[in-house]
Amino acid sequence: MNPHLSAQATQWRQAGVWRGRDLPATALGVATGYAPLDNALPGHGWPTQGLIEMLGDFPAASGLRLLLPTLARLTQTRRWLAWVAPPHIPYAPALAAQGLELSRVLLVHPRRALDGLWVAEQALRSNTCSAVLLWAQDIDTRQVRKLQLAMEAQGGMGIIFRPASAAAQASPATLRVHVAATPGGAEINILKCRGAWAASAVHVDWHDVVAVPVSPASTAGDIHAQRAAQ
Amino acid sequence: MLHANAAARQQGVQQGMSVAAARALVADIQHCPRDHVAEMQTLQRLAAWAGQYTSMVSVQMPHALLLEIGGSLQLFGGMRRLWSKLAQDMGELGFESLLAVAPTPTAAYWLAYAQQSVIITARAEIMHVLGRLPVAQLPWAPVVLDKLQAVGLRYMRDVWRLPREGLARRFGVDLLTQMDQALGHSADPRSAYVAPATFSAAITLPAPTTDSAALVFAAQRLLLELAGFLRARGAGVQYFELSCSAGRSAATKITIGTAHAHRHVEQWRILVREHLEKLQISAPVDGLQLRAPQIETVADRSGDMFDAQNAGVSTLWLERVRARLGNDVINGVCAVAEHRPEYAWHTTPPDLSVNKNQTQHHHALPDRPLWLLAQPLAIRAERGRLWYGGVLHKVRGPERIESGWWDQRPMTRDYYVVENVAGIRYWVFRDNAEGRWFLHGVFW
Repeated sequence: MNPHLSAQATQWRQAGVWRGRDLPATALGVATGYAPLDNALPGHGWPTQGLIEMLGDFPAASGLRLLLPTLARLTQTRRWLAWVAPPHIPYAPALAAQGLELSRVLLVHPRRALDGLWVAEQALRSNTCSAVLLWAQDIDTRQVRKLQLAMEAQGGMGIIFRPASAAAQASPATLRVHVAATPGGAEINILKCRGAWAASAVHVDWHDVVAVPVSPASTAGDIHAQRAAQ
Repeated sequence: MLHANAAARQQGVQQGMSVAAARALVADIQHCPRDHVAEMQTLQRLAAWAGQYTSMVSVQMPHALLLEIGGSLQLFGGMRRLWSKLAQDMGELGFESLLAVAPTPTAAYWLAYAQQSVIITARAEIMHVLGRLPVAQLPWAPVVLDKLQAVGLRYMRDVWRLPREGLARRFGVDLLTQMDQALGHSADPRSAYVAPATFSAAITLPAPTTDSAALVFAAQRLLLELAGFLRARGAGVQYFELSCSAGRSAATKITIGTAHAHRHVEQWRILVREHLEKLQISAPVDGLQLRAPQIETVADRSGDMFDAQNAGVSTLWLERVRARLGNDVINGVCAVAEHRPEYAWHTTPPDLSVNKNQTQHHHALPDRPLWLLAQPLAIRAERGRLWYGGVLHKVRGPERIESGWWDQRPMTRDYYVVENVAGIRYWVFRDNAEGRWFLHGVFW
């Protein structure tokens, strides 16, 4: 972190001013695999509670790419990774090369957009998915709230991919980011983040990825192990 | 008249009346004839269902079941618990029942027949309790009952007092034997009901309906019955058929399948609801039939709740999705060692239990894109440059992918990794046969 900013933060703190991102209430997130992004997120990673919205326009797949280190890690547990209404074929050889365990991957192709929402909600509520990815062109605030509630009821990550134009709409999501491709990497704008003020743009380089370690905050245990513990 | 509903009773219709007499009271009364065969079948189905409480169930015609519960008390947590469980479970199946417990089957049957819902646990008590029963309420032939009443014997205790020889002479040896069996003085062997190998049960709806909620409610009774049937033999089913009959038109048949054989009613109910809700019902449904042609043995407790909280739970929502949206909407994936990009993957049935990455050997392929387009998209090539939302610059390539004469779909393609000015990276190829360029994938 910029030493100047740290000094300023200390000054503010002494003056009784707390910055949102320093709030202690934020649960530890799942490491993203990209240090600059981890530092910008309040839980030092993707939030595990609540929905994540990834805004960006096709054809770029930057948002998905950004998630891969985390998804690879999540597929090490014995839970589903549901892809609901992906716009194209998530290419199995590439996913395997990125370390995703393919037996966890579920592709769901509902015929209607509304069915996609329903499937995502079922998947989130089932408590059998480490993450649910939903691609939704047209989805309103009320529907996002429904998914957010489904997430709060159960564990697992929930990520919606929406067009960049959705930024104009209010959203109950816990984290909202806009991801755009840059040569060799991506620029991430954190539009909204519960427990923190929106930070300035974060840049990541695809080459700078580090393997995502087992996170203590990961909600994604083995289904069987979890059930046995209960 | 055997039964009358509240509306009919209010108009004066009573049990024992003739149909003509009832019609005189209520001109437009609706009545249906008693179906003895259906009653007998129902009793046998209940016997199969009751096998979950004890291995010894016998059918006592025309409307009683005898359950030997001595060995089941510990399993079900005592007499009171078993009693209330039986009463509750019967109620959920949609039957009114009257329970009586006694140390001998005949005594229990007499009590139930006389509608005395009591529990006798000690043999010494039998004579005392049965003694209070009016003889008119015993399951004896009318001739015998008439004779007993003719000599002024109104209660069983009056009959106990008479000398045995006289009783046998006047009312038959059979009566004496039954009394001895009731008191436990002589053996009372019963043959155990043997359930059929497959399950089939039907239910007639009180009124034809198109309401899916009402159908789900009715179906639940059949599901409970199926679960009891299966629990009795430590079994489960992987699929069953539900037919909805609608008058004279053809029955609508639904097959409901699950990933594993089990007997968990709640899982079935959710799936049945999904199916019934999307069913196009043309005519009101008047009956449901459930058939489970294939009964499978499942591990001791895994068919019940235990299973629902374990393996079953990871696939239940998949089954729901399939039930509502169709079988083909949800798939797993695997990678295939195949150089043609379109065929380097395919869909599989979802299965969490196999670790594919460990079992499949991946060739060290050069970079492959995250997204593959189902249909390659033709792109512009002008003045030696490729265009797709701006000029595309080469990053890597070419990688030649071709297949020969042996293949159904021959191809010769040169693949390139390209990037636009914004930094979006694509996978494109030149079809060497046509000389045209196509976009086939997106890296980021």
